[in-house]
Amino acid sequence: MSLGNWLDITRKRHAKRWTLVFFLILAGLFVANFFIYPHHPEYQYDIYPGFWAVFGLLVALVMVIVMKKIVYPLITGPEDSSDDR
Amino acid sequence: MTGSFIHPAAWFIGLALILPFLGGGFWWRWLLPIPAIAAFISVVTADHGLYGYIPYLGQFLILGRVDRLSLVFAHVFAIQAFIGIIYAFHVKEKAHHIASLLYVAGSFGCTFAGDYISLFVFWELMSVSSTFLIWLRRNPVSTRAGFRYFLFHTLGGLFLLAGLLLRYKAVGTFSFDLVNQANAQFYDWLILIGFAVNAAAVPLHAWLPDAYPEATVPGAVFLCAFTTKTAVYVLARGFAGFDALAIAGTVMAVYGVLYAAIENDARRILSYHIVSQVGYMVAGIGIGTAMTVNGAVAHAYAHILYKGLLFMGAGCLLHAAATSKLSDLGGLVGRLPWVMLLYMVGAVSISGMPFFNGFVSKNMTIFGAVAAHHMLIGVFLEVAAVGTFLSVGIKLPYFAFWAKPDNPIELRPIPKNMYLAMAIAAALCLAQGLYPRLLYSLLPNPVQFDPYTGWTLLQAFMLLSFTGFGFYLMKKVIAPHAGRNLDFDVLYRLVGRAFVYVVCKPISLLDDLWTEAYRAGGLRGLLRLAGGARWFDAKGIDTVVDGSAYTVRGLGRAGARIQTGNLQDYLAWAAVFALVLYAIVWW
Repeated sequence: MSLGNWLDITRKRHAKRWTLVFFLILAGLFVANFFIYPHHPEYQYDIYPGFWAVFGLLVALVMVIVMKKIVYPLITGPEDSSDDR
Repeated sequence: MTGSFIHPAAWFIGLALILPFLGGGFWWRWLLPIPAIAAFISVVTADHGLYGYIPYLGQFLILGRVDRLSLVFAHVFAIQAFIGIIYAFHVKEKAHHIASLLYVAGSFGCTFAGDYISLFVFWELMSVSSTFLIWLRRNPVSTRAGFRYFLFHTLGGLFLLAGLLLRYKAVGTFSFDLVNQANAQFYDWLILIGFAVNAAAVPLHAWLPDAYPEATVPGAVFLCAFTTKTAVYVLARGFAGFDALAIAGTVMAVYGVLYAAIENDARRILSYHIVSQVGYMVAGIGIGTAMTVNGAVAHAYAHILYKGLLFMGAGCLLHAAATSKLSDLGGLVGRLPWVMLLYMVGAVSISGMPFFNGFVSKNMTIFGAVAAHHMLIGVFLEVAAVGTFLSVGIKLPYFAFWAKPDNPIELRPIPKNMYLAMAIAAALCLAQGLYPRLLYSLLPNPVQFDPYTGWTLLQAFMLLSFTGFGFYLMKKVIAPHAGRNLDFDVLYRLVGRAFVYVVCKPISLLDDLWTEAYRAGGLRGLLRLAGGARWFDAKGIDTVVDGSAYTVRGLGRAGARIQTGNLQDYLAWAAVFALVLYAIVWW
């Protein structure tokens, strides 16, 4: 079976399984943060476990919502087509 | 002088000059990789020192300033030139290869220039030759984008020229050295603005996401590497430690990712991420400590490799599917699995995933910023890191390769050399991630930084995975739509139109008035004069003049052939002329 076939079959049949693996990884990283932490915190708050997890998630959510829901409708226009001037 | 140095630009200019005369099939393409290989050998065997003195205006121009800072940039430029040429190996159009060879030569020329005049000459060579990599796409959209690109770079070049001339008047030298922020004069800031245009500093950045997505498929691979990184080099050389750059860089880093989050065209997303990634470098240079300048240089090196890889991946999509719009792509993972895999190597590299080269370079800048007590800059650079993984690492590949069950879109076969070029870039991204010494040993300052500790690994994986979780929750919202988003280029166009209006209206008014006055008064007098002149002409002049008239007509025909009325042709001739002139002066 070629790589392409395998990837196609995987994504069509086993999507749920991979989602589960992804959530397990998220949980694992969060738990690991209780045991592995910075000796000299870079910023004031990253001494708290899960700080960078919350940071990543929140920044991603806020960025998508603000840009796509608020900014995008204001600044989007037609594409540069080959016949306009 | 002891030591030796062969200027890498000489190899590229040499091939570009003989390429037009090589005929008889396609064999000449085997010559294309030679300058890049020769340049790499030139770089690794070069001895530090100053080479290539040219007496000029009672001073010396220096073509070859060879030190650690110029060598590290030249090192990666040679590698990327090789990769780009492999990627373009199937292109039969000589003009394309000549444009890319001269463009790379310009980049090397700037990197080794020890004075502002040589820098300016190579700077303009880059600007002209890179414009052709956009025009050679040969469609109306790219023609217009190329004009806008060229006009804006001309403007930037003029800032540089004005600055260097005023500086010469004030200090009496063209020498290109580090400026101390405390002593910076008006002309230094003009030069800085000229550099900032090429570094795509917000709000002077809009030419980049406007033009790069319209370039040819292999052209964009060259463009994404050389213009902005040459600008990073000259900033590091001349303006390290400028606070304004620390702020500008941070703004760029965040601004680029915000726009990329709502873009639809794959190559435009990547273009906005050039703005963002160059922001890291500009910020590092602006903070100006040994660690952050190292971080900026390391990031420039890593960036050239992974950004080239990303543009090659997006270029494969455009080549195969004839579109790079995410709204038209999707579901292609089964049909282009290797494009996806190689693209993903670039994507995780740019996102700073451990074991890839972005991780070992990006963190150097961020930790350096924090170590220099610039907490806020550090935090915003982490925000940009989240945005980078969100758009380049997940959104782009998800909507290009997954998202739809199947995509019936017709795919052209992708030439093997394109895969080979991507594989080389991917291997280098991984190798530098696994063995950071490969990169760190080239940096200008000594490195005391270990990127791999338990905590930095966990932090990076946590940040990236939970960004992924954010995407998972927002999958429906972030889905791209067709459309062109407004950016500062609209402002440029507005200013341009206003300028044309102001110039045209009063002048055309004056012209009308003059025509009126002329018709009323001048014409009658002129007719009388003409009568006299005709008599004189018929009696005396004809016999003398006819001979020279034939000569003039011949010259006029030759002139008319060159004057096609296309700015493209004029530019090409001007570039050839300038090169020849410069070569004569050098001689």
